[in-house]
Amino acid sequence: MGKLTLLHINIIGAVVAIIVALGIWFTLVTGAQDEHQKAETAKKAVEDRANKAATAAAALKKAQQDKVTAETDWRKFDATYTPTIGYTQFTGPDARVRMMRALFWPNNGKSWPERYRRTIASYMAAERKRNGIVWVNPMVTAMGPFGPNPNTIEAAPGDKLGPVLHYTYDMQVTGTSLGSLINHVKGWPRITGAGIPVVDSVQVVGNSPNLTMTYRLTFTLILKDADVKAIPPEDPRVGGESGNAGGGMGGGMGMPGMMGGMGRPSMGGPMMSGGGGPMMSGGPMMSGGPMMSGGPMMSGGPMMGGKRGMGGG
Amino acid sequence: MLRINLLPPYIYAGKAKGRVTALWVIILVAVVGGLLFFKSTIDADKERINKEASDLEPKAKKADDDATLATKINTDSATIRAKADFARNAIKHDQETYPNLYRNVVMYTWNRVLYDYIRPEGATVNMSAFTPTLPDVAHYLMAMERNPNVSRVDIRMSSIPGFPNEGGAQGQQGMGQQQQGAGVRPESGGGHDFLVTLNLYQPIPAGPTFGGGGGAAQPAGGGMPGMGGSGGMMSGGMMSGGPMMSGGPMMSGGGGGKAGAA
Repeated sequence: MGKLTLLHINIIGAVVAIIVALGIWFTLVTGAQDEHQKAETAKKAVEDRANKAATAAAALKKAQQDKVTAETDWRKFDATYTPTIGYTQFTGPDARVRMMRALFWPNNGKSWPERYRRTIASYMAAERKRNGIVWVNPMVTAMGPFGPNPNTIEAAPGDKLGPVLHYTYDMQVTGTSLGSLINHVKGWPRITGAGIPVVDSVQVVGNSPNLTMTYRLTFTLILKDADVKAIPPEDPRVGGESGNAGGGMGGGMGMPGMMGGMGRPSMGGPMMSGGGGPMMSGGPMMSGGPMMSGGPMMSGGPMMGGKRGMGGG
Repeated sequence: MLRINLLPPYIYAGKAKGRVTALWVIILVAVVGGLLFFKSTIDADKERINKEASDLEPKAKKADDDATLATKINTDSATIRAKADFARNAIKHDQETYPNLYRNVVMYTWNRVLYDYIRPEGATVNMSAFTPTLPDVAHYLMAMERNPNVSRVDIRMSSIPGFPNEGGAQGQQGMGQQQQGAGVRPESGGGHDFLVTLNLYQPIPAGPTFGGGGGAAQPAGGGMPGMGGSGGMMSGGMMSGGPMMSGGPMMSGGGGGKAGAA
């Protein structure tokens, strides 16, 4: 100490002060600043979240309202449009086979295709009274045979047994005025128990009072949950496939009263076995004026409710 | 009396060094103290921030919970909302899309025009039409081009007569008109057939679908009788033309309105 000069002391003091200051700065102060920064970041995050409170509350309210609205609306739509196919009545190990026999084979008007066609035919009969609409081609709603294999049944093409079924028909109707035809299109949402109808590709041909309208009608059946849950599981002990005989689109063509003699068994075999080709395109049979305008054909009841002439299964 | 310090400077150096050392110690303490104070203010501010964040946390948590719940509700109700939306859209489509389209076409149709078919497809509406006179075609054009839904009206017709040669063309002109009406139109003959394509601003929307959309049309029952070609409907005796010639609009009666003012 004695040998240290003032200069030495000053230098030492300055160096020590600087070292101590830097030491404290880089340990305590910067650490505190880091913590402070973290706290600010955390607070900013909390603020951001808190600032969304109003938005989130609104979103929650909207979600709840949307849900309530959707549930209310769907209850109404479901009650109006969704038919019950009737899967729930079949249980047990052979449920699938019994379902096939009861719902997808001709069953005295109780099978699903028969009931479904009857629903549409009834509506079209009512349309005839309401709007003077004549359904020219009711045979389009005929379903082909579903075959002997209960595991491969498709209630609608490509849709298996559910939960959503689509039926698409190229409809042709006649009316006396454009107004009646448009009312007919607008009126489709009035149908009940046939699925949700969507009308597309509406075209009108002819002159009043002989107007013909074609359109594509798609029914979307969103089955009830109970029906869907009750679809019998596949039965691995049963198989099979449709044979050649008796195939084709028997249902619609064999209807007595619609095609006259066409539904007779003697006619049915050869005509239907070809997949319906010749008959489908058959101009003479389909385009005949008397047949189209025939009142009895459109009256629906007996025609639709009757047995399927061909009985594909 | 003059005071003279005869002591050497080093006698005082020890005291000076002591003072300087003390000064540096004070400086060091001050620096340390200052830094510690600075740190304490930072810590205090951090505590304040943390407290504010803690105060905001319940609100933030409620926001999070609300958002989570909203998402959950939306997820849970997605299916039923999709069903309801589909049904609503389907009903709206059925009741509005084509009815409004046809109503619009009729509204802007000159009341002496007879349509033989109307075929909306995509962003166009194709029609076959007939009018008794050439001015009616012009009236039709003027009326239809005012249609706010139509961007362009295309007409194809071949019965516009040429300019006659002097002294011998009257008969040719009349013949040209009569050819169009022969056999199809009123027995009195005459008239003009033309094809119209309305180009729409907005394409006709396709119907809504659910669950993969509709499949192909059911094969059963075959095609549409009489619709395979429009020829049958267009050229047969069905087109008696009676309603048209009586002056009223063929399709609905609404043709007179705006078209008449055109």
